Amino acid sequence: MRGALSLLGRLARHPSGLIGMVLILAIVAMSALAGILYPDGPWTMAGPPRLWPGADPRFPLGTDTFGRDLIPALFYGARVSLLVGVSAAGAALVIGTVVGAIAGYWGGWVDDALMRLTDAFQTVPNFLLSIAIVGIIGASLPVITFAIAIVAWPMIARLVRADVLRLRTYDFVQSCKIIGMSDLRIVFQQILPNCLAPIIVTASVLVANSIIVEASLAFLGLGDPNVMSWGTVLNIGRQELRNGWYLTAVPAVALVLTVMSLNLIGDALNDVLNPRLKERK
Amino acid sequence: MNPVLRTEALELHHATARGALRAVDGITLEIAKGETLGLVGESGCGKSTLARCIVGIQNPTGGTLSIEGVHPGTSRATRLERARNVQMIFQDPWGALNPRLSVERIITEPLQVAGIGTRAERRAAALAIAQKVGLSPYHLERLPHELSGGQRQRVSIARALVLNPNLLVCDEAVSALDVSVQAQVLNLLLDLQKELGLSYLFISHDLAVVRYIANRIAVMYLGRIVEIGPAEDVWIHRLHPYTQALINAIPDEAARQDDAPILEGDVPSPVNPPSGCPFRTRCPIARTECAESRPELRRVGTHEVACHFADAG
Amino acid sequence: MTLLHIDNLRVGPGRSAPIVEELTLTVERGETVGLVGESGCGKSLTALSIMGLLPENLRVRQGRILLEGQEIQSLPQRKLRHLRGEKMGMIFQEPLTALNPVMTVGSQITEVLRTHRGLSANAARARALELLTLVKIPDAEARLNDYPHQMSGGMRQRVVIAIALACSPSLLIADEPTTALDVTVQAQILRLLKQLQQEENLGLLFITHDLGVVRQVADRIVVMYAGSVVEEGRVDAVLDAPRHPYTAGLIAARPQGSFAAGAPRLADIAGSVPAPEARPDGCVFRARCPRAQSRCEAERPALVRAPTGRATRCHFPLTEGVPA
Repeated sequence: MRGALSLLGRLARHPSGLIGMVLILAIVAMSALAGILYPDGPWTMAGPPRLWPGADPRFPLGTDTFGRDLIPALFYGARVSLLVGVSAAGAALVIGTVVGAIAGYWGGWVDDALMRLTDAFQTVPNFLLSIAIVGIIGASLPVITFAIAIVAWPMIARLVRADVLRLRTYDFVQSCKIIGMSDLRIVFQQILPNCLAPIIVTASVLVANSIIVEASLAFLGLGDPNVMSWGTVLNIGRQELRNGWYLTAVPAVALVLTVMSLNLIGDALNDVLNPRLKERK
Repeated sequence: MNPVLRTEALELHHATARGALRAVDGITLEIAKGETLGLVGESGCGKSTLARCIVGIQNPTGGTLSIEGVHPGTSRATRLERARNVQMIFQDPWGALNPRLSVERIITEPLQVAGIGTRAERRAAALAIAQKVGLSPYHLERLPHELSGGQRQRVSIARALVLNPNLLVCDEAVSALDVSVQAQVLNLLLDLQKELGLSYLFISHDLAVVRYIANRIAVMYLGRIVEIGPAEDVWIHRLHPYTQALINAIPDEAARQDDAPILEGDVPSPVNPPSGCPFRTRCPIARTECAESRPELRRVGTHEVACHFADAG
Repeated sequence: MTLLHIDNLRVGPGRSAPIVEELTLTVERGETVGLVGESGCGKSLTALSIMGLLPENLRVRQGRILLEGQEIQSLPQRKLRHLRGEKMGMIFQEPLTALNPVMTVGSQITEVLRTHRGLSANAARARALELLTLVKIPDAEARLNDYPHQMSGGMRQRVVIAIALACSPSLLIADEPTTALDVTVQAQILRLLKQLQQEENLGLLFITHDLGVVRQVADRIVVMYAGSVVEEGRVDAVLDAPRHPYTAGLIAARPQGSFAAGAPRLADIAGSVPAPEARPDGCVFRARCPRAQSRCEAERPALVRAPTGRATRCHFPLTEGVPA
């Protein structure tokens, strides 16, 4: 806990880390306040349809084709984006870490089998696989999360495997074997905490990617029809691109800012967690 | 009395693309209680692999191994049993300690894994052992990177001793330390041996250190012991041409030796070792017989030597 | 003219404590100087300063480095690079990382010759062959096409030496060149270096932590502790009768004989080398010194040089006949 707090502190002293954290906090606040500020939800038809931003002071960002205010849509969309992004990235992290750690530590045929499986997932174009899964099982948030996680874990698995391969030759790991520590404990208690740095850095990028994939799915009409996501707005905007491009631009800007802030945090984490890399520059 | 360690024809062969790599190729030796056996040889001679077989990180492919008269198996229970009898200290004081754990946690971990004592008892044990190896109580709260190389090596020793083993395998345990710190750690090892009746298998490429600390010396070449005997005896009446070359090659601190004979060439590959005597390709006294039959260890005076012509040459 | 003259050098990061200070050192043509000290004493940094290869955060803060009378620490990078190839060669501790793993040994040597000497491909190859023969690599012609990983550690170090000698430098700097090698191979390399040094009349600055190695190769010895020179002189004179308590301590700390056969306990030096920012005032060695008195705390001793070339930085040096 102390470690996590000091990490946040160091992140805040890093210029791009600070910008990233401020942006991401704003987005977290948006999703937290959505229900309080807009208790009616994002689906209410509040005004005339196709209102351009600025045309009516009651709707600063305008309304969509059904006359729904775009601001609550953004607030509720932030919720979905963060929820799907974090849970998909979390699931991918768990799967990838377990697979990578087992493959790297045990080696031999276990490693061969797991790495062939990883290859298999990586050879299929990621987005197509996600589309196929959502298309077949049906569009709901859990399925979408699953579809995103299932294509993202191989990257983590490779990363963790490489690190575990390196660390398992260290004498402190040998020493744990000599004192009779169980292999599972060696992997999860001794080795993995030492590969946290690259995992944390990748995690932030992974969340950003998951948010993009979720939005892309919704844009293609494969979003959960019961929730308002930024992709949903994009999907509506797609049909109006020629005479109402603001409908696409508004959620797109939100998306870009979110992804950018996560990438900034990732860069900052990379600098903060690998100080040696910075010196070499 | 039973020896603390006994190996008989111990072998570890790896399968490689070019054939079997004979890392350890038939090692028979014993270490008595309270004794230090020094193991010397150049890199690739198999001394570290032998150490890893003894502590159970690697499994021998042939021969037998017994620790305190028991042949250790590979199951979890026997691993814990072995851990109470034999522990190891490593070369690199930076890689041997988990960088994320406190010194106290590092020292108490063996007790915790073995399920010994309560948390408070383990803490007390760590304090006691830390004092014994020359660490202060405040060191226990530190992380490894806050300590000097010598202090880290003391932490390694404390961790190894907390289970009260009888045998400590020291694999180049002082090689990475500065001379002044090396002397501190060697003195500590000698004190601990006297106090606890420990046996050491002391592996080093530094022959002066081995001569100083060991009761007996074994010289390894390409996976086999070529000479073994009481330390001063092996040092002064070295019989095997390889032992002679090794000791002659040590840069003397007291005098310049400009024309001492020098061993030419490198250690051959353990995948395709030379026929007959493995040392014959570099041996100054090799004859045709050496290519035909492999010399076995035989007793000459107080030590044993594996050379056809050791006493003649 | 003195081949290498380092005058009152101070090296360190910008504001914090210097890592090397008050370093004065000379190497004559045809002379081997052994630079000795434990890790963190600044000996490798001294070598890097001479080569102009200091890491970016460190800089020469004070003093001069003269190579054949020419001041080199102020030279522009391009000139320095030229000088590095032409007049100075360097040998590193780890030959595997000093060589490029994806280039053959032959092309690594010819590359040096072609950049610095502008030799044609054929001439460079002929000279490379000559160099490999010079460093006694058997079957040199065939080895030219080998990659570093196909060679043993000793052979690789010979290649590194060949590259260092490619342009017939007058100064060779060897930083722990035999530390990573087995003792029999170390003996081979030491003999080779000694022979080359005599044949080519090289100035050799040999950096090591091993007093035995210094005794074998060096004419003069310079002992460093915590960034400063503490003792200097002829090898025999210093090692047979050290005057600085640190030198004496280093010699006494090495095991002699067999403990089981009655050799005494080792005389260790308490504590460890302080980090640059933690060096004490006064004498840097006083915290570990058995002879330290209040004056050692108050006043930093100067390096006192006798006409014989013997120099000691100590208020209370050991005199002959007093055991260490």
